[in-house]
Amino acid sequence: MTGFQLFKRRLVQDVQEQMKPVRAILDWSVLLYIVVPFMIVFPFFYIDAWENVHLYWGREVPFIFLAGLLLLVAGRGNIRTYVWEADLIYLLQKKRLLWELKQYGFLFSLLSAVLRNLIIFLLPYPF
Amino acid sequence: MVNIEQAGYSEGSEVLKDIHFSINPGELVGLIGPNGAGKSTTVKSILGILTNFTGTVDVSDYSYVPERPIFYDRATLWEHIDFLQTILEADEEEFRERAGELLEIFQLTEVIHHYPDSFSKGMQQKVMLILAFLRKPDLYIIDEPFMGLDPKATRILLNLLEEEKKKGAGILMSTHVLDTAEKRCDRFVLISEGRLVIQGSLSDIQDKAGLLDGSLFDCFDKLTEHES
Repeated sequence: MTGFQLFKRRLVQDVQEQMKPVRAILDWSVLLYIVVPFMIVFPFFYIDAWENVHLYWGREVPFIFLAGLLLLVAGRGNIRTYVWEADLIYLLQKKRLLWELKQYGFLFSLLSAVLRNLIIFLLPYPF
Repeated sequence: MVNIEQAGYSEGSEVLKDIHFSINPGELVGLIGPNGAGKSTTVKSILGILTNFTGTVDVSDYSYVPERPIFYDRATLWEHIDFLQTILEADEEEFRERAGELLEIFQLTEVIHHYPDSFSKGMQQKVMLILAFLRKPDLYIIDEPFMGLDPKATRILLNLLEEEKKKGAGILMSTHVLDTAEKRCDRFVLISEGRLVIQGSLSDIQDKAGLLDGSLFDCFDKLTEHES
Protein backbone atom coordinates (compact mmCIF):
# COMPACT_ATOMS: atom_id res chain seq x y z
CA MET A 1 0.00 0.00 0.00
CA THR A 2 1.31 3.44 -0.90
CA GLY A 3 1.00 6.52 1.22
CA PHE A 4 -1.46 7.98 -1.27
CA GLN A 5 -3.78 4.96 -1.09
CA LEU A 6 -3.74 5.11 2.69
CA PHE A 7 -4.43 8.83 2.59
CA LYS A 8 -7.40 8.34 0.26
CA ARG A 9 -8.84 5.71 2.60
CA ARG A 10 -8.45 7.97 5.60
CA LEU A 11 -9.98 10.93 3.77
CA VAL A 12 -13.04 8.96 2.68
CA GLN A 13 -13.55 7.62 6.22
CA ASP A 14 -13.12 11.11 7.62
CA VAL A 15 -15.67 12.65 5.26
CA GLN A 16 -18.15 9.86 6.02
CA GLU A 17 -17.67 10.50 9.72
CA GLN A 18 -18.20 14.23 9.32
CA MET A 19 -21.30 13.73 7.20
CA LYS A 20 -23.01 11.77 9.97
CA PRO A 21 -24.15 14.76 12.07
CA VAL A 22 -24.89 16.71 8.89
CA ARG A 23 -27.17 13.95 7.68
CA ALA A 24 -28.79 13.75 11.10
CA ILE A 25 -29.84 17.41 10.81
CA LEU A 26 -30.60 17.51 7.10
CA ASP A 27 -33.39 15.01 6.75
CA TRP A 28 -35.67 15.35 3.74
CA SER A 29 -38.09 17.82 5.31
CA VAL A 30 -35.34 20.24 6.26
CA LEU A 31 -33.83 19.85 2.80
CA LEU A 32 -37.16 20.49 1.10
CA TYR A 33 -38.37 23.43 3.18
CA ILE A 34 -35.17 25.23 4.09
CA VAL A 35 -32.13 24.25 2.05
CA VAL A 36 -33.69 24.06 -1.42
CA PRO A 37 -35.65 27.36 -1.13
CA PHE A 38 -32.51 29.04 0.24
CA MET A 39 -30.45 27.83 -2.71
CA ILE A 40 -33.06 29.16 -5.16
CA VAL A 41 -33.43 32.53 -3.47
CA PHE A 42 -29.74 33.12 -2.69
CA PRO A 43 -28.62 34.15 -6.23
CA PHE A 44 -31.38 36.78 -6.43
CA PHE A 45 -30.41 38.26 -3.10
CA TYR A 46 -26.76 38.16 -4.13
CA ILE A 47 -27.46 40.13 -7.33
CA ASP A 48 -29.82 42.46 -5.54
CA ALA A 49 -27.22 43.14 -2.88
CA TRP A 50 -24.78 44.39 -5.51
CA GLU A 51 -27.37 46.46 -7.32
CA ASN A 52 -28.59 48.19 -4.15
CA VAL A 53 -25.51 48.23 -1.98
CA HIS A 54 -26.86 51.02 0.23
CA LEU A 55 -29.68 48.75 1.44
CA TYR A 56 -27.28 46.15 2.74
CA TRP A 57 -24.25 48.12 3.83
CA GLY A 58 -24.32 51.47 5.59
CA ARG A 59 -21.73 54.05 4.54
CA GLU A 60 -20.90 54.82 8.12
CA VAL A 61 -19.70 51.26 8.79
CA PRO A 62 -15.94 51.50 8.34
CA PHE A 63 -14.26 49.33 5.72
CA ILE A 64 -11.87 48.03 8.34
CA PHE A 65 -14.82 46.22 9.89
CA LEU A 66 -15.35 44.20 6.70
CA ALA A 67 -11.64 43.56 6.34
CA GLY A 68 -11.50 42.39 9.93
CA LEU A 69 -14.42 40.05 9.37
CA LEU A 70 -12.73 38.58 6.31
CA LEU A 71 -9.47 38.13 8.20
CA LEU A 72 -11.32 36.36 10.99
CA VAL A 73 -12.87 33.89 8.58
CA ALA A 74 -9.78 33.46 6.41
CA GLY A 75 -7.48 33.02 9.37
CA ARG A 76 -9.12 29.91 10.70
CA GLY A 77 -8.17 26.48 9.53
CA ASN A 78 -5.87 23.75 10.62
CA ILE A 79 -3.44 21.25 9.25
CA ARG A 80 -4.47 17.65 9.63
CA THR A 81 -2.08 14.73 9.40
CA TYR A 82 -4.67 11.93 9.21
CA VAL A 83 -2.52 9.88 11.59
CA TRP A 84 -4.57 7.91 14.11
CA GLU A 85 -3.57 6.74 17.54
CA ALA A 86 -3.45 3.08 16.57
CA ASP A 87 -0.90 3.83 13.86
CA LEU A 88 1.63 3.87 16.66
CA ILE A 89 1.37 0.09 16.74
CA TYR A 90 0.33 -0.88 13.24
CA LEU A 91 2.54 1.45 11.23
CA LEU A 92 5.44 1.70 13.66
CA GLN A 93 7.81 0.04 11.24
CA LYS A 94 6.39 1.71 8.17
CA LYS A 95 8.08 5.05 8.73
CA ARG A 96 7.97 5.88 5.05
CA LEU A 97 4.24 5.19 4.79
CA LEU A 98 3.55 7.36 7.83
CA TRP A 99 5.68 10.13 6.43
CA GLU A 100 3.87 10.02 3.10
CA LEU A 101 0.51 10.02 4.86
CA LYS A 102 1.44 13.14 6.80
CA GLN A 103 2.76 14.77 3.64
CA TYR A 104 -0.50 14.23 1.75
CA GLY A 105 -2.45 15.36 4.80
CA PHE A 106 -0.45 18.58 4.86
CA LEU A 107 -0.89 19.22 1.14
CA PHE A 108 -4.60 18.53 1.34
CA SER A 109 -5.06 20.84 4.32
CA LEU A 110 -3.20 23.57 2.49
CA LEU A 111 -5.20 23.12 -0.70
CA SER A 112 -8.55 23.15 1.04
CA ALA A 113 -7.53 26.29 2.96
CA VAL A 114 -6.64 28.04 -0.31
CA LEU A 115 -9.94 26.99 -1.89
CA ARG A 116 -11.97 28.09 1.09
CA ASN A 117 -10.30 31.49 1.20
CA LEU A 118 -10.72 31.92 -2.54
CA ILE A 119 -14.48 31.45 -2.19
CA ILE A 120 -14.69 33.79 0.78
CA PHE A 121 -12.85 36.54 -1.11
CA LEU A 122 -14.64 36.08 -4.40
CA LEU A 123 -18.10 36.19 -2.85
CA PRO A 124 -18.00 39.88 -1.87
CA TYR A 125 -16.18 40.81 -5.10
CA PRO A 126 -18.24 43.01 -7.42
CA PHE A 127 -18.44 41.51 -10.92
CA MET B 1 21.67 -6.06 20.20
CA VAL B 2 20.50 -3.31 22.50
CA ASN B 3 22.95 -0.69 23.72
CA ILE B 4 21.31 2.09 25.66
CA GLU B 5 23.76 4.69 26.92
CA GLN B 6 21.05 6.88 28.33
CA ALA B 7 17.39 7.41 27.61
CA GLY B 8 14.48 9.43 28.91
CA TYR B 9 11.25 11.10 27.90
CA SER B 10 12.54 14.62 27.50
CA GLU B 11 15.82 16.48 27.21
CA GLY B 12 17.74 16.29 30.44
CA SER B 13 15.59 13.67 32.13
CA GLU B 14 17.48 10.44 32.36
CA VAL B 15 15.45 7.34 33.12
CA LEU B 16 17.83 4.67 31.87
CA LYS B 17 21.60 4.52 31.97
CA ASP B 18 24.04 1.96 30.58
CA ILE B 19 21.75 -0.91 29.69
CA HIS B 20 23.28 -3.38 27.31
CA PHE B 21 21.91 -6.78 26.40
CA SER B 22 21.13 -8.95 23.44
CA ILE B 23 18.42 -11.33 22.36
CA ASN B 24 19.66 -14.25 20.31
CA PRO B 25 17.60 -16.13 17.74
CA GLY B 26 15.56 -18.88 19.33
CA GLU B 27 15.82 -17.36 22.77
CA LEU B 28 13.18 -16.15 25.21
CA VAL B 29 14.53 -13.33 27.35
CA GLY B 30 12.58 -12.10 30.36
CA LEU B 31 12.78 -8.39 31.11
CA ILE B 32 12.07 -8.10 34.81
CA GLY B 33 12.20 -5.37 37.41
CA PRO B 34 10.04 -3.59 40.00
CA ASN B 35 7.38 -1.05 39.01
CA GLY B 36 8.97 2.09 37.69
CA ALA B 37 12.33 0.39 37.14
CA GLY B 38 12.39 1.38 33.47
CA LYS B 39 11.07 -1.74 31.73
CA SER B 40 8.60 0.11 29.55
CA THR B 41 11.17 2.80 28.82
CA THR B 42 13.59 0.09 27.73
CA VAL B 43 10.96 -1.33 25.40
CA LYS B 44 10.24 2.14 24.00
CA SER B 45 13.94 2.71 23.42
CA ILE B 46 14.08 -0.44 21.36
CA LEU B 47 11.04 0.67 19.35
CA GLY B 48 12.77 3.99 18.69
CA ILE B 49 9.98 6.23 19.93
CA LEU B 50 11.85 8.12 22.64
CA THR B 51 12.92 11.66 21.89
CA ASN B 52 15.83 11.64 24.30
CA PHE B 53 17.94 8.62 23.49
CA THR B 54 21.61 7.93 22.99
CA GLY B 55 22.91 4.52 22.11
CA THR B 56 22.37 1.97 19.40
CA VAL B 57 19.61 -0.55 18.93
CA ASP B 58 20.08 -3.12 16.23
CA VAL B 59 16.75 -4.80 15.59
CA SER B 60 15.30 -5.18 12.13
CA ASP B 61 12.00 -6.92 11.90
CA TYR B 62 9.86 -7.16 15.00
CA SER B 63 6.34 -7.44 16.36
CA TYR B 64 5.37 -5.33 19.32
CA VAL B 65 2.58 -6.27 21.69
CA PRO B 66 1.84 -3.28 23.92
CA GLU B 67 0.68 -3.57 27.49
CA ARG B 68 -2.43 -1.58 26.64
CA PRO B 69 -4.15 -2.86 23.49
CA ILE B 70 -4.81 -0.18 20.86
CA PHE B 71 -7.27 -0.50 18.00
CA TYR B 72 -8.70 1.60 15.20
CA ASP B 73 -12.03 3.06 16.33
CA ARG B 74 -14.26 2.10 13.47
CA ALA B 75 -12.74 -1.14 12.28
CA THR B 76 -13.82 -4.68 13.06
CA LEU B 77 -11.46 -7.45 14.08
CA TRP B 78 -11.39 -8.77 10.53
CA GLU B 79 -10.72 -5.29 9.14
CA HIS B 80 -7.69 -5.05 11.41
CA ILE B 81 -6.37 -8.30 10.02
CA ASP B 82 -7.14 -7.15 6.49
CA PHE B 83 -5.38 -3.83 7.07
CA LEU B 84 -2.30 -5.57 8.42
CA GLN B 85 -2.18 -7.80 5.36
CA THR B 86 -2.39 -4.73 3.11
CA ILE B 87 0.39 -2.80 4.79
CA LEU B 88 2.65 -5.84 5.03
CA GLU B 89 1.89 -6.63 1.39
CA ALA B 90 1.73 -10.29 2.38
CA ASP B 91 0.35 -13.10 0.27
CA GLU B 92 -3.40 -12.86 0.79
CA GLU B 93 -4.33 -16.52 0.78
CA GLU B 94 -1.53 -17.64 3.07
CA PHE B 95 -2.14 -14.73 5.41
CA ARG B 96 -5.85 -15.42 5.70
CA GLU B 97 -5.26 -19.08 6.31
CA ARG B 98 -2.85 -18.29 9.14
CA ALA B 99 -5.28 -15.70 10.51
CA GLY B 100 -8.07 -18.27 10.47
CA GLU B 101 -5.91 -20.75 12.38
CA LEU B 102 -4.92 -18.22 15.03
CA LEU B 103 -8.51 -17.00 15.45
CA GLU B 104 -9.54 -20.60 15.92
CA ILE B 105 -6.82 -21.26 18.49
CA PHE B 106 -7.72 -18.18 20.52
CA GLN B 107 -11.46 -18.83 20.07
CA LEU B 108 -12.26 -15.53 18.44
CA THR B 109 -13.77 -16.87 15.22
CA GLU B 110 -17.26 -15.93 16.38
CA VAL B 111 -16.44 -12.25 16.82
CA ILE B 112 -14.42 -11.40 13.71
CA HIS B 113 -17.05 -8.92 12.56
CA HIS B 114 -17.26 -7.18 15.92
CA TYR B 115 -15.32 -4.13 17.04
CA PRO B 116 -12.29 -4.95 19.21
CA ASP B 117 -12.98 -1.77 21.18
CA SER B 118 -16.00 -3.50 22.68
CA PHE B 119 -14.04 -6.61 23.76
CA SER B 120 -12.90 -7.42 27.26
CA LYS B 121 -9.25 -6.78 28.17
CA GLY B 122 -8.39 -10.45 27.77
CA MET B 123 -9.99 -10.68 24.33
CA GLN B 124 -8.28 -7.47 23.23
CA GLN B 125 -4.97 -8.89 24.39
CA LYS B 126 -5.64 -12.01 22.32
CA VAL B 127 -6.28 -9.86 19.25
CA MET B 128 -3.01 -7.99 19.76
CA LEU B 129 -1.21 -11.32 20.02
CA ILE B 130 -2.85 -12.66 16.85
CA LEU B 131 -1.81 -9.53 14.97
CA ALA B 132 1.73 -9.92 16.30
CA PHE B 133 1.99 -13.58 15.29
CA LEU B 134 0.66 -12.77 11.81
CA ARG B 135 3.68 -10.59 11.12
CA LYS B 136 6.02 -13.58 11.49
CA PRO B 137 8.91 -11.41 12.68
CA ASP B 138 12.44 -12.32 13.76
CA LEU B 139 11.86 -10.69 17.12
CA TYR B 140 8.87 -10.38 19.40
CA ILE B 141 8.71 -7.56 21.93
CA ILE B 142 5.93 -8.32 24.37
CA ASP B 143 4.95 -6.07 27.25
CA GLU B 144 3.12 -7.81 30.13
CA PRO B 145 1.37 -10.42 27.98
CA PHE B 146 -0.39 -12.28 30.78
CA MET B 147 -2.47 -9.37 32.06
CA GLY B 148 -6.11 -10.23 31.53
CA LEU B 149 -5.48 -13.57 29.87
CA ASP B 150 -7.24 -16.58 31.33
CA PRO B 151 -5.13 -19.66 32.22
CA LYS B 152 -6.06 -21.39 29.00
CA ALA B 153 -5.08 -18.44 26.83
CA THR B 154 -1.83 -18.10 28.80
CA ARG B 155 -1.02 -21.70 27.99
CA ILE B 156 -1.84 -21.18 24.31
CA LEU B 157 0.39 -18.10 24.22
CA LEU B 158 3.29 -19.94 25.84
CA ASN B 159 2.94 -22.81 23.39
CA LEU B 160 2.87 -20.46 20.42
CA LEU B 161 5.95 -18.65 21.72
CA GLU B 162 7.68 -22.01 22.09
CA GLU B 163 6.86 -22.78 18.45
CA GLU B 164 8.20 -19.42 17.30
CA LYS B 165 11.37 -20.00 19.28
CA LYS B 166 11.90 -23.29 17.49
CA LYS B 167 11.53 -21.45 14.21
CA GLY B 168 14.37 -19.19 15.31
CA ALA B 169 12.57 -16.09 16.53
CA GLY B 170 13.93 -14.15 19.49
CA ILE B 171 11.52 -12.99 22.15
CA LEU B 172 11.83 -10.19 24.69
CA MET B 173 9.09 -10.43 27.26
CA SER B 174 8.59 -7.87 29.99
CA THR B 175 6.63 -9.31 32.89
CA HIS B 176 5.89 -9.40 36.59
CA VAL B 177 4.67 -12.97 36.55
CA LEU B 178 7.93 -14.34 37.89
CA ASP B 179 6.99 -17.98 38.38
CA THR B 180 5.96 -18.34 34.73
CA ALA B 181 9.05 -16.40 33.66
CA GLU B 182 11.26 -18.69 35.74
CA LYS B 183 9.90 -21.78 34.00
CA ARG B 184 9.84 -20.44 30.47
CA CYS B 185 12.59 -17.87 29.96
CA ASP B 186 16.08 -18.87 28.84
CA ARG B 187 17.68 -15.74 30.21
CA PHE B 188 16.73 -12.73 32.25
CA VAL B 189 17.50 -9.05 32.16
CA LEU B 190 16.94 -7.55 35.58
CA ILE B 191 16.53 -3.80 35.70
CA SER B 192 16.22 -1.66 38.78
CA GLU B 193 16.13 2.13 39.07
CA GLY B 194 17.02 2.49 35.42
CA ARG B 195 20.20 0.46 35.72
CA LEU B 196 20.98 -3.06 34.59
CA VAL B 197 21.36 -5.17 37.74
CA ILE B 198 22.22 -8.43 36.06
CA GLN B 199 21.60 -10.36 32.89
CA GLY B 200 22.00 -14.09 32.62
CA SER B 201 20.44 -17.44 33.34
CA LEU B 202 18.63 -18.34 36.53
CA SER B 203 21.83 -19.79 38.02
CA ASP B 204 23.73 -16.56 37.28
CA ILE B 205 21.05 -14.67 39.12
CA GLN B 206 21.07 -17.14 42.02
CA ASP B 207 24.85 -16.66 42.23
CA LYS B 208 24.58 -12.92 42.30
CA ALA B 209 21.85 -12.99 44.90
CA GLY B 210 23.72 -15.60 46.96
CA LEU B 211 20.69 -17.87 47.02
CA LEU B 212 21.80 -21.10 45.39
CA ASP B 213 18.43 -22.79 45.29
CA GLY B 214 16.36 -19.64 45.49
CA SER B 215 13.43 -19.09 43.21
CA LEU B 216 13.47 -16.18 40.77
CA PHE B 217 11.02 -14.48 43.09
CA ASP B 218 13.40 -14.72 46.09
CA CYS B 219 16.38 -13.59 44.04
CA PHE B 220 14.38 -10.69 42.64
CA ASP B 221 13.48 -9.69 46.17
CA LYS B 222 17.07 -9.90 47.36
CA LEU B 223 18.55 -8.01 44.40
CA THR B 224 16.07 -5.16 44.58
CA GLU B 225 15.55 -4.98 48.33
CA HIS B 226 17.49 -1.75 48.84
CA GLU B 227 14.63 -0.01 47.05
CA SER B 228 11.96 -0.73 49.58
